[in-house]
Amino acid sequence: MEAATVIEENVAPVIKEAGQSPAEIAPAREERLFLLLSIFIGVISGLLVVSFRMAIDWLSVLLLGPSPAPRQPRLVFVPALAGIAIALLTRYVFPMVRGSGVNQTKAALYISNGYISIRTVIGKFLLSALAIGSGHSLGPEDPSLQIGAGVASLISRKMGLSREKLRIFAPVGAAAGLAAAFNAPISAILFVIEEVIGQWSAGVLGSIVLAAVASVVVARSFWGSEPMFRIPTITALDSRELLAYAVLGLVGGVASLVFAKSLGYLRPRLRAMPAWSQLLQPCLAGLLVGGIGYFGLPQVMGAGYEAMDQAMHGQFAFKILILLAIFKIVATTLSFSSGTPGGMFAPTLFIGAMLGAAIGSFEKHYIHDLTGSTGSYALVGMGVLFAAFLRAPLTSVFMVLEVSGNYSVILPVILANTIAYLISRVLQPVPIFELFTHQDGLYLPSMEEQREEKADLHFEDALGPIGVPVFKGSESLVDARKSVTEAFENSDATAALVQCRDAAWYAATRKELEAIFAAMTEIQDTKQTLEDSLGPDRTPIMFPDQPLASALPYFRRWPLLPISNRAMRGALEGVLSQADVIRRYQGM
Amino acid sequence: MTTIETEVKTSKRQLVIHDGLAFLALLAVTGVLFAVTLFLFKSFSAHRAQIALDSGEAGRVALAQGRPAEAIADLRTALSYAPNERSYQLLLAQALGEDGRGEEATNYFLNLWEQQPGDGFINLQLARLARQRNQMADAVNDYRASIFGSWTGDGVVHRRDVRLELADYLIEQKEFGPARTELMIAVSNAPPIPELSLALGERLLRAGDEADALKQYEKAFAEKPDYALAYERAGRLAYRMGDYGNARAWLEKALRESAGAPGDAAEPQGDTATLLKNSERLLALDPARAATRPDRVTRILNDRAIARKRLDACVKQAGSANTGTQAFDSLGPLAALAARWTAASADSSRDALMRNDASLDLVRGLTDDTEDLTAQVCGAPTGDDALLLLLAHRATHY
Repeated sequence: MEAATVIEENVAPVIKEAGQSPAEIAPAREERLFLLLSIFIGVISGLLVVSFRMAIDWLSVLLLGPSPAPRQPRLVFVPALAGIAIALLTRYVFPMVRGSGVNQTKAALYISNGYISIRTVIGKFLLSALAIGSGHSLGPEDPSLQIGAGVASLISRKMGLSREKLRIFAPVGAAAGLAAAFNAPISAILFVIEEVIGQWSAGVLGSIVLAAVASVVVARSFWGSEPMFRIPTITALDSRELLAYAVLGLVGGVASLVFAKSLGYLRPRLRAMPAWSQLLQPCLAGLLVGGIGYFGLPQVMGAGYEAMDQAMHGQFAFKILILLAIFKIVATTLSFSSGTPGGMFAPTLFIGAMLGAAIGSFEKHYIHDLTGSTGSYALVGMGVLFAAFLRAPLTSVFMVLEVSGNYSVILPVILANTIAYLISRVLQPVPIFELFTHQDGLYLPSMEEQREEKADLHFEDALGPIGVPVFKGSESLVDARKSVTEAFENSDATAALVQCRDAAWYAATRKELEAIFAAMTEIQDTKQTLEDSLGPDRTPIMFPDQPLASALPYFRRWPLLPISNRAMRGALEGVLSQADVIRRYQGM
Repeated sequence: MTTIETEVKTSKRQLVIHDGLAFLALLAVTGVLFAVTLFLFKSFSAHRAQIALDSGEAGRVALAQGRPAEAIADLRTALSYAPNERSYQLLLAQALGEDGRGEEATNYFLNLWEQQPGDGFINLQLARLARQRNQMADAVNDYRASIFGSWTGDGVVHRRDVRLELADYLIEQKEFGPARTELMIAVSNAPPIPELSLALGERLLRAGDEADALKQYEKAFAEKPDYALAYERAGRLAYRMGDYGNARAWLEKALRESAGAPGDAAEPQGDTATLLKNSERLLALDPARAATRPDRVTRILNDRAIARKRLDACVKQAGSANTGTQAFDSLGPLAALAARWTAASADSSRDALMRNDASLDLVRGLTDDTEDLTAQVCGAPTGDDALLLLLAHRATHY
């Protein structure tokens, strides 16, 4: 980045001296750069994420040994010592690296115009790698997301892009980072849209896709096409198995609730403790997580992808699977609540995989007629927890489809995810990431709420009857004057509708009509129609199913809006006034 | 051109240069980052591969040395670094089974089976696990799937071994009919390997098919004329089947061949030698083996004399050992038998026997009944009496 810095230092002042910003000098420049930069962001994010995963694996081998097994003392002291180092570095060197990375990226987007410092990126890389590599029960995906966003922020700053573009680039980088970590571009794109941006935006979608695909291409050139785990064989679905998948949805919903409640309870309490004690929290969490590993379940340590792979390939017995799910919830709650940097995705997938495999294993042993593979259940279980805990239902479905590459699991995935998502929503109304932002004193937009708001009011919800006089535009001015005068004498209406040619309408104010009649001459009135005297402008054609908010800009020009029927040209369903719209929004 | 226009033009040019240089810088950074990542990744991959290799080998050795728990740990490590290495997967599943973790092993093998349902080895392991769980139907199905599955290496040998294992299992489950069917299929496909023929013979014998078992033994020593063990097995079976002539010949051959290769077959001083002696004696005692009528009469008279002695000894033994009701219970049948002896004495002279076939049958029947009854009353006989009893039983059965 040194060359870019030199350019920034030398060229930018010259541009500024001209008295104009780069955007003003070359208006199309940013648009042209945007897509090209997205590819660079994708490639660099991909490389960094590959390095990040390598760092985690190296540290894991170095610190925990190549084959961590119960009763190895280092399982206890390594995460504890790493916890001390992490706490000190977080406190004194990298204060912004706490947490998973998703909320931090959202905060960068909504609060600091997409700014993520290079120090945060470096800190996130190093401390998350140390935490996960030393056995803390956290995942690499969310930090990868933040690393990608940080890369995007850095590059766009160095290119001297406008504030608007700086903001847009953060989610582009986030998608690239997550895509490389997941090795699944569609899921990453959907997650960023579903959870970070909150809406489909044509302006940013192209860049997000480019960056995500570029990063995945890079990641796959190193790791191969398989995701973090090997995908098991997916057998054809027996419709009777849907019942078992429904049970999985139920169990997953409850598990995600327990997980979310545990985090929601412990995290604020630990954060409220004195500052000196917070330096010890990662160490204590490491000690406890290491203890779980020491006393028999080393699989819960770290990201746990190997254990997920084993569960998906039916290598654990039912009881072990249940124990792993329970202790992963405990271990992750401890690690995350202690402020150790690391993500929630991998633990969520881990818990889901264990629960899914447990149900699959149970079915296999006790219901011989059903032949669904344990791997299918584990895979669907991952999606279930993703939907219920992270509250990203769309991503959860596509993630399973994309990872499995098999469309035959669509039905179980939708069924199980929906059940789990509904349970989670009813019993834990505030999504977990939103809960964390509230606990941190931030109020970032809730994507779940936004999604629901989008499906809110339409014209038909505020539509009123046609209570104003209606005139024919084809009438001559003399005839029209009579009609208008009579109509307004019997009414206190302040506006009227004029039906024009070609099924168009004109919403006129009473004053506007009176002004036309006052200005008319005897010669005019025999030849000119009312419609002609209104000029060429016509009220826009609008329909009842359009969003209510979209009506507001029109009231500056029009006193009311005639709402047309989509089937019968020129026929009206009713009219909409500004007062009607405001009343509807006020819930009156 | 105004000054402002000139400045804007200059600024635009500078902006283009800036962007061009910035992209070059980005390209350079990307290239360097790529090179560094690639170097680290190669080193990282090589290290992982080495760990996988070391752990896999340690697991293989531990399993071979009967330490399945250690093998499991090593193989799990190997698989975490080389997750697609099939040989480690199979070894791990095997180790789980051998460590008594049946459910885990079954899960593991089922999963491997889902990937390769036609794999002979996986189906064999599933069959063994089903055997452990006493699920006979599953075990048999899996054995059959293994027999018809694909094998790496010599598939014919693997399939035959699995079929023999299935036959053993069926015999163990007393399913002799299906076991014989499997064995006969194996026999029909068996190459001329003496050890295999012998093994097939052993299994056929255990499945109750003596005739086919004997054929396999004969095949075995036909393929390997100095195969002492095959002679010994054939001799024993022939003895059991009452073919004392062949029994004597094969047992003799067994002893002779094994003398040249001690430890290879039956010990001359042991059971085999006794069987040989018995065979020879039986051939001497059995009236059915007589070549001429005088010889036959001589044998019947000889057998009668042996039986008579046995009866007298038994009456004496029963009389001295028991008193009261017990004595009456045991002596009663003996007295009746003695009465038959007295009644038959007129028809049992050599001349009478030479003339009359009915007398031959009468005396022979009396001899058989005597050996049978004395065995019941006075306990198992020894020596010639035991051999006569054997002949008596064979006469009853055949």
